Amino acid sequence: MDRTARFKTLAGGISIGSENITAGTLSGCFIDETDRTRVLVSNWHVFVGKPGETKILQPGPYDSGRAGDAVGILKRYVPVPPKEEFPWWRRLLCKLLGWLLEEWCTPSTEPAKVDCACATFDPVDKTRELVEGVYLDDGSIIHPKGSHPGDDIQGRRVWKSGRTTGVTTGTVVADTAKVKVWYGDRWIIFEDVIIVDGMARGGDSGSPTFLMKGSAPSEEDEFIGLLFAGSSTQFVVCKYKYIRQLLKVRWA
Amino acid sequence: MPCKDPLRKALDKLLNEDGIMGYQVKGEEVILFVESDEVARSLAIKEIQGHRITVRVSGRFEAL
Repeated sequence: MDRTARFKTLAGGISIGSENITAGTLSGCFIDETDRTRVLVSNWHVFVGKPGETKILQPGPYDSGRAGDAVGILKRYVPVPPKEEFPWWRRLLCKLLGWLLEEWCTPSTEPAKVDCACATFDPVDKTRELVEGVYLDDGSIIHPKGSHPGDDIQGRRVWKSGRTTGVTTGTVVADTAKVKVWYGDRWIIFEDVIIVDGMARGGDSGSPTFLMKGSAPSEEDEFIGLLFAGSSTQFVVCKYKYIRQLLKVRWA
Repeated sequence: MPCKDPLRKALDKLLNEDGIMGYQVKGEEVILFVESDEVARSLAIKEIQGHRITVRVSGRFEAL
């Protein structure tokens, strides 16, 4: 199955992106708790843009998505807290006396908890549909209906479905971690996130991630959050409890 | 502003250093995630605020 293709039926695990980026992964169909409509969800850095204006393309621009492939408009996102900026006089004082005023000279950063955004579903091509669930590697769609806040799962097996590496499984090595993530131009600190020993690559951001009940992905599994970062051996997931609380969407 | 406990304060300071990618405190266990084997080898600290540290090489976390 080519997850970078243009899909008539949209579900989690396929290429998507705003007109401003390359490509990431569609997390799936969610319910917007503010107006009960069905929305598309992925990471903020995948849907990056201006709410009410920026087009969301499936596939993403890197995978040849163009204006005619628009499937919606960015609706809202959870802002990532900026690092504290000192005024010029404080920067000067810290340059001179930083060794003495170490704590006062350390910019405070309120850690983020999620990297997520939602978009309306309003495709240019009205024959395209959005369905609940997630694509597996054989092209079938399964719909794990349950969800889990993401707490107390250290040592448990999980799986994700992503644009680049498809379905991969892994083991949770931390479930209340604080990490820093490189966003190309700056580090952003995240707290209370899940770290998984498992494979993900560029373009997998937004992958819906599930707690595995058996030995293979199934509809009994539970949605735990969104993959948003990773290295060559591990990936990082933001928890569903914060996605629901801060973005105000629920897994459909 | 609430007071941060000394352990988390020390770990947050460590997180500002190159090669330190994250940490987790769970009960008495502290896991430190580092970018490479080289960083892991160069870490002189074996414990922090009385908590024993387990070092794991995670690689560098980047938005994907």
